[in-house]
Amino acid sequence: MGAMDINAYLTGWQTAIVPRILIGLLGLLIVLILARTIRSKRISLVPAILWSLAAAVLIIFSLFPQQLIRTVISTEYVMRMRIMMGFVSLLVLLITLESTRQARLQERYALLWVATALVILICAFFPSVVNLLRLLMGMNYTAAVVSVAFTFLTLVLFHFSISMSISQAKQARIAQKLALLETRVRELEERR
Amino acid sequence: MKETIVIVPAYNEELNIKTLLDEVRSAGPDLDVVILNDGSLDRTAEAARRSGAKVIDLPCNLGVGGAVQAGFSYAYENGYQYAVRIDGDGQHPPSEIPRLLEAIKSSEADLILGSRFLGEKSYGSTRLRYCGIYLLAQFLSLICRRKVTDPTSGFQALRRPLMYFFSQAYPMDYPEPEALALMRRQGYDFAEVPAVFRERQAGVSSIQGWGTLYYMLKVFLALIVDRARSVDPRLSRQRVMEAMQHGRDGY
Repeated sequence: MGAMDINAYLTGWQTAIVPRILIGLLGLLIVLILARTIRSKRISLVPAILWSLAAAVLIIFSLFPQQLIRTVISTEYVMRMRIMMGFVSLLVLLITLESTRQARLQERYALLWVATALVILICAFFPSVVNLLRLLMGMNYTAAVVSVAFTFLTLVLFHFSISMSISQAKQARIAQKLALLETRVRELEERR
Repeated sequence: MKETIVIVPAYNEELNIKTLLDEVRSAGPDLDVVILNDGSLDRTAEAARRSGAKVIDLPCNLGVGGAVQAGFSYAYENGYQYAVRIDGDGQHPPSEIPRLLEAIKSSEADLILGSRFLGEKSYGSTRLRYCGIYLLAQFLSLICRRKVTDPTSGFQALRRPLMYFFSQAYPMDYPEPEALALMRRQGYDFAEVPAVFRERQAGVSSIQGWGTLYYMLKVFLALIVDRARSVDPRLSRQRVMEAMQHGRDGY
């Protein structure tokens, strides 16, 4: 986007009253629900912080859209990407660990997800890690991190295919055994 | 206790099954029959039970390989010496069963394969399908070091040791060619005899059109991958035969 476009875009936000009110209301709604869940102690610390951050961003944006966007785009591009990836990896880590804690996810499946999140997190904290990839492949920072993350996600998917195949084979054996036992029970009942 | 059991995998064969069972009964009085109802959506199991057959009712559709394997397990566990496998759609005429049994009893082979392409021609399949089967037959003959003309035939008679092997290891979908390759690798032997096939009586074949191509790709991939696998000595013919002769537990 050229400089002219940015100014026009920002002025557009300044005059878009209805969307701004809606966004602000959404932020307030999150604050409200968050307050209730915190009072009844149904939420742990980290999700509470993340949700209140989201609410704060929404409310500030609805009040000062122009200023917020300007402040954000005045920072360095790589820094923005690093912050965003840091958040994404924290989110993945959080969801994975929470699901494991609640025993919805087995540890052996959690491992690859945790690894994926950690790799992105390391890339966010130490951008020099992907320097070699940037140099060899001629990628920029974002593309390098995304391709590393993509590799790990592919591994996760492959892991799924393997465990699905194994489960299917086991399921077939169980179904066969069940049917054979059922036949046996029927025979015994008929004999009585 | 009869010596031979006929294993019939059936999926949605309510309309065919009674005729087939009557035919099997008239083919030989010394044959037990078990129907493997592979999670049919119609009333295959009831129709079979009403005609007096033993039915193993699989709780969900496993594909023909899974169904047949359950049949081999049943035959093995119940002490049968020979098993004949025919399809539930009626394309393998039960009147040919005695011929297969005679062949297996008079030969050393662990499995006798009924081939529709040996001897007099019985019925013509589509040209594409015939080409596929021909290629597969050449490849299988090569890797099995035995002549195969009808690798997809499910019309088979087998001996007890092979029942045990198949109950432990059997491919799940489109299993016939792969099962031949697997058994040869473990030291089991097979031979072909000519058999007359019929057009299926009712219902539709599971392999049609693009399915033929998928079938070919899947089977060739499976055959090649199986070659790269190591042989499992616990299931080898020699080991299983020895264990059976000594009457060890578990065999």
